[in-house]
Amino acid sequence: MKLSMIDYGIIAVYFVFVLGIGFLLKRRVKSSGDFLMSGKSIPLWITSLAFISANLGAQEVIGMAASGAKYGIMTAHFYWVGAIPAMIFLGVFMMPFYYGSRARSVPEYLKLRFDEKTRSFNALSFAAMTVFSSGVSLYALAILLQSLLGWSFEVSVWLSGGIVLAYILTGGLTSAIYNEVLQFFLIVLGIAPLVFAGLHQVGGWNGIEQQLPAVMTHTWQNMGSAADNPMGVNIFQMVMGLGFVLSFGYWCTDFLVVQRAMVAHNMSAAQRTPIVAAIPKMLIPFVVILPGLIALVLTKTDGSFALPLKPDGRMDFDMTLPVMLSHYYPTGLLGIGLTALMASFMSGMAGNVTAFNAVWTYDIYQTHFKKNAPDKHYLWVGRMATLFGILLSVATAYLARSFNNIMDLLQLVFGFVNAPLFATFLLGMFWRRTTGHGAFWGLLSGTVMAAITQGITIAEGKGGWMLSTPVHEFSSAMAQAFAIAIVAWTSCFVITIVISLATKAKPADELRGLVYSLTEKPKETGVTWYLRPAPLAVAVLVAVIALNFVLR
Amino acid sequence: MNLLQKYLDDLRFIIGVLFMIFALILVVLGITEPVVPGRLNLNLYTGLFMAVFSGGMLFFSVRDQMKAEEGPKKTKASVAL
Repeated sequence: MKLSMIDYGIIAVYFVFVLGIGFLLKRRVKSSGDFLMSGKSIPLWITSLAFISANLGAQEVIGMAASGAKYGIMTAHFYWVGAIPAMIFLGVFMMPFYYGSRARSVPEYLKLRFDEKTRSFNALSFAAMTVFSSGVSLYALAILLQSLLGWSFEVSVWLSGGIVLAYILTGGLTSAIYNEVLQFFLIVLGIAPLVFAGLHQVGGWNGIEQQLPAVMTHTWQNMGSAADNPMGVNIFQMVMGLGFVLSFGYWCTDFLVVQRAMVAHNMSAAQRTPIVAAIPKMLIPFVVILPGLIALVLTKTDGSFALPLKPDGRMDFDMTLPVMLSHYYPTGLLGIGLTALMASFMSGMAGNVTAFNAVWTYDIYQTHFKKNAPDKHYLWVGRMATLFGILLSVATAYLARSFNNIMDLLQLVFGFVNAPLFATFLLGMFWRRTTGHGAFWGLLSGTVMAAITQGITIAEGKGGWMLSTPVHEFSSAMAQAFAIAIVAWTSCFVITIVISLATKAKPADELRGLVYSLTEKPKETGVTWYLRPAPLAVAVLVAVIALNFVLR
Repeated sequence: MNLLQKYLDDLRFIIGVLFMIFALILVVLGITEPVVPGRLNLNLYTGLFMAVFSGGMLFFSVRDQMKAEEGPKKTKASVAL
């Protein structure tokens, strides 16, 4: 791919704006609350777009196009089953506790609801996970720029890390959120023309249906058996593993996304943030997944288009989007498309770093190192945590370059930690009898059970490290991941109940505002009825069911 | 300076200006650069779409700032009356 001076100019203009936002917001940062929580003053449309943009990182943009080419339109399950229902649940049922409890982070809610050890377990694992995720994003960006433009790995890593550091350090979370919104529009407007041009060439959706096998153009029809679809998962694994455990575990408990709703200016806006975000979220598959399907058709029908091959001779689906950009985009739009890709990496990285600095400052430093320091001290610690987080991300990127297997292992371990988390929150918020001991040991047992399940089963050559002959072989790594999540969640749920029944619960007075049955339901005033969380949630749910039905 | 600062505080204004710059570049390229036969003039179409989008962002930002400016004046006037 060859860029012209105009393309480089477009990239430069974008970075001037990104850095400019940070400097413009600098004067607003006067306290640790302004830096780490945006002073809880962000309007609804911004929190909603930031909510999905924090997740619209490299995995989503590059990875979903690759999955579209590999699995077809079934990939949309990651949105319509694996995101929207959880986002609605978060808005309607869980935000009142997060926002109403005045907790500054998800781990802090765990402290209020349970105890210090549960908070620390979650805070430490989350802090480590965010830094490593940010490093993986940085590594992927550097590799992409190296392979597409021939840029040096070092320059890409340090320059991208430096830009993200500059705009977070100056403007704090508000700057990260404003840039996430900017990046959202850039990603959508930068990649949508690709879909438009591709559909125009292949003859629209009808053209795709004619060229590809039916299994690639239907979402539900081949889910009866794992052997019948390219994902290798059945309907139970899809609905229970992805649609319930993994989806609710991520969207309802991961501070990276929940933080965007927690900084809304009032409870109503906080509740509506994930629900309003669900509207563009359900349409994003048409921007990020369709290029994969179009690329498959082009490999059959357009002699001038080909996806690169891996050393083993299989198609390198990860290159779907970059190759499509190179194929369709002329000078000018190519600069915009490439800027959109870079923006997606940086958006994911900035989201992780801003979540990391809040958890580090409030849940680790303030709790375990210095409790009653002046606010200026915590502002300084927040800034240092940002710098520290970026440096760790850079170190992780280098680590990933040297030992790719270590990154797989780390991601696997963090997956084990995340999978059972939703069971803890579900019981904590809706069953007042749940105790801190129950929550802690439930979480720990869920994590251990996830590791054991991975160790005694195998899929695509992965897992099975505990036994010489694994007890079960899954049809795909995805099916294995879903099964691990189901086992982890179930063990956490059962162990938490058993230990809670055997230990002493907190008195009701300490649980007000933290548990459903002991909390006054928020009353909506001054908001038109159809804009209230419940009616909005119903409308979004109907729309997503309709999408599933149309592409069934 | 104060008014400019208010506009810069509005994210819609910043988004509007950035995408207007991109739109202008794409429209100029779309008009001047030759297009591969059989292909869409993507620069032109995307540029025009971006111009409409950024125009909308700027319009709502400026309208709201003007409303905010007029609001206190009207109040003062009504108090004077």
